[in-house]
Amino acid sequence: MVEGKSLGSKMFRVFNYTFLILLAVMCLIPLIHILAVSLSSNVAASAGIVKLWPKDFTLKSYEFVLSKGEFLLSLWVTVKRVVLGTALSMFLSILIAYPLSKSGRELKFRTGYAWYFVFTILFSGGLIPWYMTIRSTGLLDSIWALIIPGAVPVFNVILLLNFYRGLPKELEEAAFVDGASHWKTLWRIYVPLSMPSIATIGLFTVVGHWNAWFDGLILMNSQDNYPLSSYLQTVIVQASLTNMSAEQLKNLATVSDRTVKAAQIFVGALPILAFYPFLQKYFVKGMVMGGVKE
Amino acid sequence: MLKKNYKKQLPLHLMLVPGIILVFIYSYIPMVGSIMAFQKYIPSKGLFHSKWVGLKNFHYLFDMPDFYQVLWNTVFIAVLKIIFGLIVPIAVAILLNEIGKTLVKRWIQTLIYLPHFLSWVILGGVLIDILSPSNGLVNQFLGLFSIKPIFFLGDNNWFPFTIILSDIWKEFGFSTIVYLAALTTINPSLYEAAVIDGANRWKQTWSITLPGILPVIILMATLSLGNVLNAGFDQIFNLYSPLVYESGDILDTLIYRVGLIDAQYGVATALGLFKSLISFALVSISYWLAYKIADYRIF
Amino acid sequence: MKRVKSISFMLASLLLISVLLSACGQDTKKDAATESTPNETKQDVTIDPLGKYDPPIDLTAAKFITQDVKYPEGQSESNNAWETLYKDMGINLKYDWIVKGTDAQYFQKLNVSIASGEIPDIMMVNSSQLKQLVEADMLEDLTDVYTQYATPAVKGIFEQDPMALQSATFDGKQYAMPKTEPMIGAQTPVLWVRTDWLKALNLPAPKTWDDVLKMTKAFTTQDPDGNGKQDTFGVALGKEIVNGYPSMNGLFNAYGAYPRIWKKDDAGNLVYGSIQPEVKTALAKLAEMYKAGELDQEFGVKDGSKVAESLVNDRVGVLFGPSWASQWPLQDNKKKNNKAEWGVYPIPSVNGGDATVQMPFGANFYFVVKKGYEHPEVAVKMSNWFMEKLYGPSADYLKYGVDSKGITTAKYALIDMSAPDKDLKRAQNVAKALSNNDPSALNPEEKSTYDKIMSFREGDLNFYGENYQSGPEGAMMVLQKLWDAGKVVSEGYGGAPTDTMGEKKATLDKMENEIFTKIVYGAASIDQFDKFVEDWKKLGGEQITKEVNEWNASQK
Repeated sequence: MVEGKSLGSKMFRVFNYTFLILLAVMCLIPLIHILAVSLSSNVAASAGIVKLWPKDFTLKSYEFVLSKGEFLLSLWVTVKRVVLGTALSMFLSILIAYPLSKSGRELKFRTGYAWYFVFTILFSGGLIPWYMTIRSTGLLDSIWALIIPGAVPVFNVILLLNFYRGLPKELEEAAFVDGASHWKTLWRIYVPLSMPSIATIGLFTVVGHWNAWFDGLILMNSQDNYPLSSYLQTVIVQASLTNMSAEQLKNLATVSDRTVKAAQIFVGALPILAFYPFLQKYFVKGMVMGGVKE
Repeated sequence: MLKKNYKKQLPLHLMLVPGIILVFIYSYIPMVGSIMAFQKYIPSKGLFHSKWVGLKNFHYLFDMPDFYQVLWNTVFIAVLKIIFGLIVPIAVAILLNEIGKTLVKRWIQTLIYLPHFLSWVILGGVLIDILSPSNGLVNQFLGLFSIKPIFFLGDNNWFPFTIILSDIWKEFGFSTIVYLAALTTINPSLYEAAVIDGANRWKQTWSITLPGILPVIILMATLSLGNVLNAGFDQIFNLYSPLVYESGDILDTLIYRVGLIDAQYGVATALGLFKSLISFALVSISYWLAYKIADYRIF
Repeated sequence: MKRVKSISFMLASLLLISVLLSACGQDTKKDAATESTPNETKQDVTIDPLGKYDPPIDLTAAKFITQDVKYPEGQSESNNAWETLYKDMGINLKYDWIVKGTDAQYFQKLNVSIASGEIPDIMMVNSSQLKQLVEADMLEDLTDVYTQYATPAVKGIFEQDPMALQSATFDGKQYAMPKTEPMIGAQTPVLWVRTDWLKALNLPAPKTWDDVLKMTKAFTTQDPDGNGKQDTFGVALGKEIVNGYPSMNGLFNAYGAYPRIWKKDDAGNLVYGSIQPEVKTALAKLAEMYKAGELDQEFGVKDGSKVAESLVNDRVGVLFGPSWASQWPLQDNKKKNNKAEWGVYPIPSVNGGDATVQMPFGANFYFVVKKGYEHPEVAVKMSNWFMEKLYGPSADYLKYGVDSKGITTAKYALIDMSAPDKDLKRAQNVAKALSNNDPSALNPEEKSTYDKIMSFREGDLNFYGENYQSGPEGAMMVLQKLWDAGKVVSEGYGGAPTDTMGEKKATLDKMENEIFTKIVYGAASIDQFDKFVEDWKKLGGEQITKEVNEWNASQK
């Protein structure tokens, strides 16, 4: 947008910067708190006196976490999951959104196809049949169970088809006149011009895979195959205290180490937090139109 | 003509095939399981040999003494979440768009996206501290304006709004991204032309920015209608207490507690089906309206 | 165009058919296996309760490992003392799946397993799953193998707690080996008091209920920590008033109220504790205490770890808590503030003397065998081995129980159980050994407690908790006294959830939690309690009472 120079627009700018920076700080507080807890002594953490600055500073919990095989193992599973899952989902999203972005004239049954996909966002058979299907297709306890059943992210497809529609028709028509096929048009024209939206749904896919924990708990048969977020669930969630014997509770108390939990949360979130800034270079204004001009 | 059309369309259909098959296997086949809603499901008998009970599971659900209260809580919280979950990210995206310095913009974008990555299990504990009436940050701040401490998580008048607000706070940064992406598709020359016409910032926003991202707004609004009965199980489960059952108990927490005592597959499936039907109706109606009124296909 | 569509449809329907067929195929195979299991073969086998299987047998299992389990150097889930033992005994143990996490996560996965009709040969279930599996006819009847195979050591456990076995029995048939636990140390409330605060305020050790009330008041108003600020309060409480941590079960018990358990009345019928008039009196007192600031003003939103913060941070002086409270969080309090001293007492009754306190049911979990499995006695034999290797003539406690580094290896066993009085006995023996300065008569488990207490006496605060749980001045000694005096009352209903419970209990529990909390907060008047009792009966409570008493009658 073009910057104005009037007093009003200056005041607006001051307000805008202050407001957004305050908002950003508000969002930062919990993470700083978790970081502070992870760097404090256990007693200080369990007394709840650590706020935004570590008390009795120590790196012990990080040493513990990073020396823990389970943590690193599950991180590796997550990396595999994110890489494979994102590659497959992105390919399918890009592919499926293309025909669906056409009009009903260009593609017969377009609306029917669109609803075929959207319907699955609205209806599901529930946990048990879902599990049974995945079991029957032989994916249980393999990394593919976390990738294939959700390989078509319908929401992303719908989003992408909306972005595709916004692309100027002239380019496409020019390509067809040159004898390009649909396949070529998609990869040579649509994809390069849609980088902001592809980056967006790419981010959604990566984050989705990173955060998903429930499927890991249900579909994996041993901890060795848990992705990081499933593993963190088994560590962070407090076990119910009412069903246990004194012996168990006693042992549990000794591991309910808040500083270690906080360190795991922090280390576990770090890679994904660093991922977004990396993608931001694709969010450049006017990119699409730039393509048309040349 | 027909043949030519066919030849031209074939690759488009083929592109859909892998997706159609995957979705069929992993989404449509499990849907057969919805028949559990009409059964007393017995695991050893399986889906096709369990006893049919008609609408008994639905009756069980609707006849629970507090069902309507809980339904109301669910709708109230979910609808407000939908509304503000749309407005706030759009507003923030537009404001962010006004920031000229790229570095500042990127930092803010990154920071507001942080809370999305903290689960409610973790945030629950942090919120209890921050919102505490005796020594919480928020109430200390309100105290500066001599506002009496508010028991945000323990007062039925405040609890739903606390839930809505904290959810918006957690998710707005992440939701902003999609609008930021939409903003990149607006042709910058439109703004240049507008400035020459003497349009001020407000006018530019109303006549260029908003219309430019309108398709995405409509799409997001329509799809979020599907959540009208999803008030957020994880969040409420980690923040509620008997003190606020009255205003904070939702369908999902209710069924969760039923399931703890007795595995009632039928009832849980019946609830799922009920929720799906409502969402389906709402999404279809808005799709149809957009088509009839504006000749626009939302998806 | 049409062709394309029909091809994709054909492909899709082919897939559907193959999926369904493979599912059906599995089912039929399973049924065949079930039917072909001949019962006669079992007769040939000589009954040897501790003997090995020769030739070896295959066994699939699901396993739950709690969050705290550790392995000694070089050992793991699949390679440890117990796994080796099972192998040596001729069992090819294969885990269908393992969950290391919370019990809720384990049971969730098991629920999915059960519902999808595919369960392992042997597994641990909870009481509602037990009922569900029995009703679906998916479990092997263990009645005969139990009587034939169980060693006296195992039978002895269930003789101590006959309710445990009853709860696994449906229509006269035993379907499970209950996992008994020494619940007395787990949940039975005792009175924990900051004795340094008592001293600072010149108050006596609590002997009567009045002493307790005076104490909670003084801790709130008289600045026991001497920091000149009005920042302490009397009693610790979290959002679950009943059965949470910390809960008010102890205070209810002082008033002769026993919320959330079924208790026999004078006529021998079971009545529901939460609707008795004594509960009303106790709630009225709690409301009064809340108003006077003696309870955390925000208790309604706090879970256990939030309440622990107040305890560690020197803000609370009284805790109605279980025996292990000394280990967590009181030990952290001591570490943070070396002046802090906690003492443990029996809870005085309002009527004088010590109050009778409540404890939950002795078995929450059950080990079951899948219907059709050829060697159902393996569940009993595994129980036998567990008792034998820990306490029997061929016991090797350092290998199978707790190793020399203090790692509990007993947790690797697939089937484990404990004598209900184990914890009490240990405290007694340790106390004796400490006073004689002679640990030679202790078993290895007791010896490790003895050593910890000795370390504490030499100043190691890491064992502060152990000392006040199992030491001579600890909670177990208090509980022993109550136990001997018959002042411990246990859950009287041992059956699975009844039909009406399954349908209505969630609603009733919600109502109860809600009204109790509101009364304490002053958001509802105490008279609302009477309405709650009426509603409770009307909305299914009466029916549940009937069903519970039918069960009760059938047990005689």
